[in-house]
Amino acid sequence: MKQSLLSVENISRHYRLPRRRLLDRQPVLTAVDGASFQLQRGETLGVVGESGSGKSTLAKMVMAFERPDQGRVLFDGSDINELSAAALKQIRRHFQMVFQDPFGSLDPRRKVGWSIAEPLRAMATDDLSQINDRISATLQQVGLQARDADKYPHEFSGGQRQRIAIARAIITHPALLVADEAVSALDVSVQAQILNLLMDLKQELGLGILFISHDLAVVASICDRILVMRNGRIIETGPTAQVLTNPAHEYTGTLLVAAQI
Amino acid sequence: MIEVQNLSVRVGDTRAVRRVNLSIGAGERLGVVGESGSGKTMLALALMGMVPDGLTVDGVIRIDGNDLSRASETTWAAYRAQKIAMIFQEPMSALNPLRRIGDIVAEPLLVHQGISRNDARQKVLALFDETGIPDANRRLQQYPHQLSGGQRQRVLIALALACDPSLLIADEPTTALDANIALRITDLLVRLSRERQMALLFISHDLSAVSRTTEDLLVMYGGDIVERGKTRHLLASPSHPYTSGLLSARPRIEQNAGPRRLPTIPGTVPSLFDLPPGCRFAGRCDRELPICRATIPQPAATVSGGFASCHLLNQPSQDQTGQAPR
Repeated sequence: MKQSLLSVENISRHYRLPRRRLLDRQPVLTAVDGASFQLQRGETLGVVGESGSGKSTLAKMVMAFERPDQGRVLFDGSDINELSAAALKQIRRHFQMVFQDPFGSLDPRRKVGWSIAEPLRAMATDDLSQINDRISATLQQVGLQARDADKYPHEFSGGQRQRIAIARAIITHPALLVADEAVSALDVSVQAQILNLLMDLKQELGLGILFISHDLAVVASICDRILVMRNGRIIETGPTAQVLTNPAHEYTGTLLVAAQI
Repeated sequence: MIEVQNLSVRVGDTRAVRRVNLSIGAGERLGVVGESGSGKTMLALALMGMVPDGLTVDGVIRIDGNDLSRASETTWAAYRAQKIAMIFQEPMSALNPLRRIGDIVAEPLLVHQGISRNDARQKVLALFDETGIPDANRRLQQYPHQLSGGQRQRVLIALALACDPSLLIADEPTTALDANIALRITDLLVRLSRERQMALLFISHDLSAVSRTTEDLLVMYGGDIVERGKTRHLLASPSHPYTSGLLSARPRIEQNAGPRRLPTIPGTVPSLFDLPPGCRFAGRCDRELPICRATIPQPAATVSGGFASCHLLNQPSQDQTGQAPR
C-alpha cells in the first residue's frame, strides 16, 4: 500500500482548566477527541468547523508543537513524537505552517529577506552561501519580486504579507503545508489571489496541504477532501463534492446555509 | 428618517468618503458592502457624529428632519443612543469587562431617560427578552466574560435598542462570529427592524450576510459608492466591474464542486493617499477606458434597476451603434 504523507491515528488532546474552587478537581477540556485521517502527497485536505471545535489544536499536533495525549502522528511513516529532538529538527523542513495573521507573524524590525530565510538558518544544514538565490527564487515563486527582500513588512499590504509568510514556509521545500485560517484576515479580492497561489504551489511542488478554515465556501473552493469538526470530533469526512451535495450531518447543512447568497 | 446628501469625509487633501447620498426610511434595511479601506466604517462614524479628530465632514446629514451637519458635540450626544445607535464588530471590546451586563444595558436608560433603577431593570429584562437572551434575571448579574460571543452581540444589540433609536447602524456585527451564530444575529436584526419600524444600516464585507439582511445595497470602493440598487437584483446582475469582480472572486459552494481557480481582481485595495483622481477602481479594472483615470464617472441607470458610477454605462452601447433595438 502506498504510504500516506501524513497519517493521523486516533489522536486526542486534553487541557486542564483552572479549578473553580480551591479543593475542586481540575476540569478537563477535550480539545481533540480521537481524530484519525490521512493526507496524500499533492492532496489538499480541508478542516472546517466553528471556533473551539479543535481545528487549531489538530494543526499544532500535526506540526509537533503539541504532543497528543493519545494516538500517533506519522509523517512519511515515522512517528514524529518518537523522534529525538535533533531528528525532529531535521524533518521539520518537510512540514511547514502558514498562520492567520500576516501582521503578527513577521518581525517588523527585520527585512523580509531575513524573515524568509529564517527556517534555512534554523536547519543550519544547507549551504548558506546560496541563501540569497534561494530567497529570490522563493519570492518569485509566490508572485513577489527579488528586490522585495530588502523591504520591511510594513511596506507591504495584507495580501503581500501573506505571500511572504507562504514564501517563508516553502523555502525549505516542504512536502506538507499546514495553513491555519491563512486567508481569513484578507479582503475578498485578495483572498482569491492567495487561494490561487496555494493551488499553483500544490501543482508545481506536489505539496500536500492541510487547509484549516471556519469558512466552508473557502474550503470548498480549494480542497479535494473535507473534514468537518465539532466539539473536538471529526463528524463528517469525504470528497468535497460529496460533503457539499449530500451533507450527512445537520451541522454541515448549517454551514452550507451560512455561505449562500 | 435619515437622509444624507453629498457627504464627504476629508483626510487632509484626500477624501475617505466622497459625495455619498443615501436615505433610509422607517423599517428599511440598507446594506453597505466593501473591502477594507472602502470608507464604509468612516461613513458610519460620520452618521454617528464620531469622525476622529483631524478629519472634516461636509454635506448634509438629516435625522428625522433635523440637519446635524453643523451640530455641536452636545447635540450629537443627545441624538446618539436616543435616535441613532451603533453596534460593533467585536462585542468583547465594546463591553466594559468590569461591569455587570444589567448595569451596562441600564446605563443609557438612567442617563438619557432619567427613569428609576427599578423601571430600568424591568426595561432591561424586556430588552433581553426581545433580543433572545435566555435566563434574563441571572444574566443581569453576570459579567461580559461569562457570555459566549453570540450572547455578547445580543447584549450589545439590547444596549443599542435601550432608548428606542430610529436608526441602528451595525458595523460588521457578524464578522467575529461563527457561521451558525451569525445566521441567528442577522435574523434577529431583520426581525427587530420590522417589529420596531427601525431603520437599519448594515455594514459588512460579507456578501452572504448582506444578502440575508438587507433590501437595498450600496457597494463602496475607495470612498465612492460605485453601485446601488435592490440587494437581490444587484447581486444577481451586477453592473459595475468592481461589483462583478467581487462577486466572482468570492468562493462559492457549487454542486459540481472541487478545487478550481477563482477569477481575481488584480492588485490590491490602494491606500487612501494613492487613489486615482477619477474612477477609484481605475488601475485594477479589466475594462478600463482612457477616460477612467482622470474623470469621475456619474451614476447611470443599470439593468438591475439601480445606479452604477461607471464610464462603461455611458458609452454608446452596441444597440445604438450597430443593430437597431427591437
